[in-house]
Amino acid sequence: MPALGRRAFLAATAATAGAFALPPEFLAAAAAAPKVIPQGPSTLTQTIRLSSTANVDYRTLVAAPGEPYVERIDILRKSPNASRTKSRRSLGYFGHLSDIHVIDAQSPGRLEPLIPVSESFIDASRPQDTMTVQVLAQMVASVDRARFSPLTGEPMSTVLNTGDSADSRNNLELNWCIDVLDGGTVNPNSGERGRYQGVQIWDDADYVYHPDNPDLNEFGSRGFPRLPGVLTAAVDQQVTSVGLPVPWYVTYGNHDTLFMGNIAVETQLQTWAIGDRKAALWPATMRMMASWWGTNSSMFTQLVNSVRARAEFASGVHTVTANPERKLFDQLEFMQAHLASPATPGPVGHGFTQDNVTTGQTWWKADVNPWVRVFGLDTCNQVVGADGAVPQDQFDWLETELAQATVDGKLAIVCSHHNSYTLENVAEPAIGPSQPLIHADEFVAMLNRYPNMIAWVNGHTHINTITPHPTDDGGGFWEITTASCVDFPQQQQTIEIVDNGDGTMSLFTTCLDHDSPAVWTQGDYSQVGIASLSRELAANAWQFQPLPRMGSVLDRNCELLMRAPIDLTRITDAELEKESIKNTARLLARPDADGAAGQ
Amino acid sequence: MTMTTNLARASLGLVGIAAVGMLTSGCSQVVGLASQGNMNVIYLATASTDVLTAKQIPIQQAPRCTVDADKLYTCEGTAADGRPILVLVPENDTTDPQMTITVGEEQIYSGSVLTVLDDAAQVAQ
Repeated sequence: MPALGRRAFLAATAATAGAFALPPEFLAAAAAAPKVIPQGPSTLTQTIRLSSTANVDYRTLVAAPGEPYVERIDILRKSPNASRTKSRRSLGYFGHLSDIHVIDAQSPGRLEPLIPVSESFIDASRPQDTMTVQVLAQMVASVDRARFSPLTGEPMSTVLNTGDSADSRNNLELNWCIDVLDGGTVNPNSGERGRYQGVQIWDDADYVYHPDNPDLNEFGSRGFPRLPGVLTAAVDQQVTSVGLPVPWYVTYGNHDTLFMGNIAVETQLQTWAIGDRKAALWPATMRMMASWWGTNSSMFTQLVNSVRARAEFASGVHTVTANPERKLFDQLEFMQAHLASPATPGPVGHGFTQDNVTTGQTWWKADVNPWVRVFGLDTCNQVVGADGAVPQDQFDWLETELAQATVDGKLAIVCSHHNSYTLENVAEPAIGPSQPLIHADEFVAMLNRYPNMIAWVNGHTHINTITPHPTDDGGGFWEITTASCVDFPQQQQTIEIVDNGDGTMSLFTTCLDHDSPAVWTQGDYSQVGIASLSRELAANAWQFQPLPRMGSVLDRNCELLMRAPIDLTRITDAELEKESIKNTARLLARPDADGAAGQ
Repeated sequence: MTMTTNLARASLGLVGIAAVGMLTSGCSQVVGLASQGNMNVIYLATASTDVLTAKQIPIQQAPRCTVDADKLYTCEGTAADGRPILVLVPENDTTDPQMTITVGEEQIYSGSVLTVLDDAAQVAQ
């Protein structure tokens, strides 16, 4: 039964239909229809696991039973009221993406040759590096299929992307990511049409997976498959993305800030990234850097010098197709790229405004609906290191804003790339201005001073993790960390805020597998097939500790209970219905979209 | 419980509980410069919770893990009936760390961390 009276309902649908250029009666019919719980694929109905063939190194994946929601009462600390399931009201349904890591695997600006130097460089090449655009496109398709809540049937309103969009600060990687999220077609080949140029096909780069010749190294002995032509197929196909169905917001990740997530960008590195020389062997990498060693004392150079002591210069440089579009973007260009993104699905800037570009302030706030305010932080270190911290000025800004959100009666969600396990970076500039860096314990304590703070949403560790931060007085907030698009299990998630109508509320987290078959079909090099293959390769990439990254069952599909921090009865059913009408209209207005649940 | 495969052994060996600071992670290309935060406390909490849920022990507070200066790991939580949950990794084993899990006075698991993680990632037998 609609909460709005008939006249108010028709007025609301007419006004909203006008804003989205929809026929009013069309929207009214859709909004008046009973909410349908989607029956489409989700991890509630099907999960993906490794096959259990013992004593075989390389394991394929299989479909496994779904996982229903598991109650977590770490913060509530008492059994929830069983009747809450009859009185639930959705206060917001969101998507959460993180650690997308779009990779231009052919770029000379990557550090693959350093893999044999140290285990620490292992992330410079994954077996599935050429397939990240396909994975993202299919993840976007999965978010689109989840555009109606599997719990309440309410329409999604917003997607939050907590950083690491590009893997190596490559302008193309960033643009491909934005284009796939917005929807459209991407050609993920930064080199020569019809050809893959990179370490996975060069025999002297015998430290990475060679799909055309896996027996070249350990990958073959571990059972990695022979996949002739897959590299060219992956980089040379047009990837089509349906686009996210709703506005999306973004924060910086360390890979969007430092080169390959760890080191400051050098002028010479810029030149190298857009050039036509790509190293396959680490002595060659060192030689290419040699010309600027003497005049540069950066951390990166210090690193290189430490490796140089072992170097015996040799061949190992290959000619590749140069591409100036591979230029490494800087901090402002990251925001500008998002501001240049189209208005649909929006919002323009995806959290950033022209004011951010002018002032250099890399964090933002947004009211994603009338009762939820989201704060997008930049926890990335500008100097060195993968991990993060909260600079003092941003910490102070957030505390002021949380106080204001309390006054305004808003529920608060904080988004950042780093989580409470990785907020310990202490690196400060050796010269120039600096400020204190706030680390996890102090940051969590500050967040807990504001009862309206309900969730800290983040990524970085590529593991599904849900961490409660209770207070002694029965309050607290939930920290929700999603996995990544690049490492197994290649999952993202949705989050729904629910008023239980009994003085408590719940956050429902639902993991999303990307929209591709659990079982890869041999020879399927289509877009969907390559996404499926990527997940299988990631599951077997032993160097990346794939198995624990699913998290436990208490880190995946969960109902996270907590005391309602504000009087939720102030949010009327009529207000909720108006918001639902608006979100439904947005979905109906998408090109080629029917907006129907479960389609 | 299934046999842990060679792949899993090799893979999870890198997760070795004492290998703090040497682990790579998805976000760190050059962790040697600045290692990512303590991933092992997350892995251990995951394995502990997997055991508790597999044994159908209702949980009020899921195990939270810490590591001390000697690289010894401890996780603490609370069962729904109020009994304390305690997880210990008593020895500094980098290849196949062993853990014990007690709920109240009852020891419910003693064995490999890696086997638990391997079992959780594969289809049920």
